[in-house]
Amino acid sequence: MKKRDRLDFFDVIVLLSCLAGIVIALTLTVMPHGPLTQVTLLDYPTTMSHDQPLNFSLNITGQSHYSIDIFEDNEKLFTVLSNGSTILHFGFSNITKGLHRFTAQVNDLVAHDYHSVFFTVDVV
Amino acid sequence: MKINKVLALLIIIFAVGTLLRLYPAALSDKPLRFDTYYHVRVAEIMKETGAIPVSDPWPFGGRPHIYPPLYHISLAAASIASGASVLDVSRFFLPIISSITILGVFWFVRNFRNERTALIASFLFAFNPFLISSSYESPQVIGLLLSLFAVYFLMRKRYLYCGLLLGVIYLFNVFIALIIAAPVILLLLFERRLKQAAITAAPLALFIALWYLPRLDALYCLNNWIGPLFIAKGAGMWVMFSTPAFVALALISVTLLDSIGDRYRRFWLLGTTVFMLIFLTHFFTPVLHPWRLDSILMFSFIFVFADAVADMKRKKQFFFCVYVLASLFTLSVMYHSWLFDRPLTQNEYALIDYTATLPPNIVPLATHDLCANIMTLTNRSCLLDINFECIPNPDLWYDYETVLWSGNSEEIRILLEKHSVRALALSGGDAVQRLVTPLDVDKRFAAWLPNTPDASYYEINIRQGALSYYGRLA
Repeated sequence: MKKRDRLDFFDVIVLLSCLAGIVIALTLTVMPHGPLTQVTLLDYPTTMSHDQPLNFSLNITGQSHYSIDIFEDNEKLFTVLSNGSTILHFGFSNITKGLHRFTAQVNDLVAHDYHSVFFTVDVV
Repeated sequence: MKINKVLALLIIIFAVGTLLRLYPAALSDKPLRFDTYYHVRVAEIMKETGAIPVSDPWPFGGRPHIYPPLYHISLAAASIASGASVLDVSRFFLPIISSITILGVFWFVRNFRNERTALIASFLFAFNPFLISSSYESPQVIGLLLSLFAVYFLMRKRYLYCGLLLGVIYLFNVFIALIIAAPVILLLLFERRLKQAAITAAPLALFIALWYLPRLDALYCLNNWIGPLFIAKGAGMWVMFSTPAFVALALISVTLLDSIGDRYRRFWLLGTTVFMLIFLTHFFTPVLHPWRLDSILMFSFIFVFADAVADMKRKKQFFFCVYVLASLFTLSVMYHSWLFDRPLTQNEYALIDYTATLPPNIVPLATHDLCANIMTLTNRSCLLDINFECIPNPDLWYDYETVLWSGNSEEIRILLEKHSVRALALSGGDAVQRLVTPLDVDKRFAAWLPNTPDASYYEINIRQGALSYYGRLA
């Protein structure tokens, strides 16, 4: 039998190290990758009178370090810092007549990431 | 090598290779990769009705079902035989076939080379990340196993058997049958064996005719995605990334070879060249499914590479290590796109859970994979996006570029009005949002992991009986 046809110690080491590497890579791939955040827009009006206050609620789960920027169309109205609650209520008044899109942008202060929910209100 | 040592090593390779394939499948309680859900739905219909469905199993899709039936029949039969649901059977069916192929590769190579080469080839098959990651969704896995026997018969000059097997492979998956048949026929043509080439091609042509001829009238209805595939200029980033690795691996193995060698080597060199050329078409069009070609390319590559490495002296096995390291590197990079991911992201599963809480009369419009999962996991209905509708006039393929989701909002508005869509379940964050936010929609729900696009639920406001663009009304 020729020497090159023999599987020797070197081959076994290569084989085993490859196996170990793949198992490690596989283990890393199934590790969790941070919390899943969910934002649900709960209560909001679709039509309202301009002399009424606008009230709406958000349900935020999965993270505790966040701030929320509230926009009317593209203009930022105010910012709210997280207070540990999952349900947050918002309210403000003096809205002009017309169609407005209100946006709640939830900013993840740890991951420096943000996502929005929004709704349109016809103010008459 | 002694028989018992060979057997021991083969058992180790087979066991670990099987574990690598079954472990990701066992981790998820759902089948991996979204195409599985299409096959599951077809197999479920076959199991319930005993007949091949006429249309694809999607509501409002309208596309005739023309996928060859053997994979769906196999799933339905395995489900009946085991008593498990088709969904559960589909989790492990293809990974097990892929594991069996490890032994098939050993048997095949041992017939034409020695046991050492056979062991190296089975090792390369067992641990190649591309071959592992393609073990979950497409019946091309079955095609790879059967192609071993087809090529075996080609080498043994039993051309009719080779052709019959290519025909059977076709009935599992069109794509893999045609791809494997290409180097088989080419080899025979290069050898000037025209009669043998005809004998090999005839059964394949016959099987194609038997399946398609009764369905010729169905071909009027082409997928909407076929046209844009010709228009699109490239495939995904991971395909781009893998191109230099694939080319380098093939070049290294060819460089290692001393000569063109015998018929066995010529076939796999030809196969690697043909598969490589087809793969490289992704620079022009993704229509030849480059995301599926990686496994076929790796499949032919392992035979060439095993042949080359087995002839090397020990020091030159450095290349062997380079190959494995490159594979591992690819493995880790691939993870960030598809590899071993569940068919959907956690974001999307959260979105599906949310849609399950909606009133039953709300039927959201969703993309292919989301819709398949909503239907499978929540027993609710959904509307598929426009890609899965018929093209009414296939001569106008090139005009359909703007009909895609990536087209303009006006087209989406037409689609939404056509089906009276009131809700959208979309994933992809801003890339998808930009298409719907110009509409008067309320985004009611969003779910995301850090630094990932969100999966969101939108409700469409209807003002004065028609959809209106946000900002156009005043």
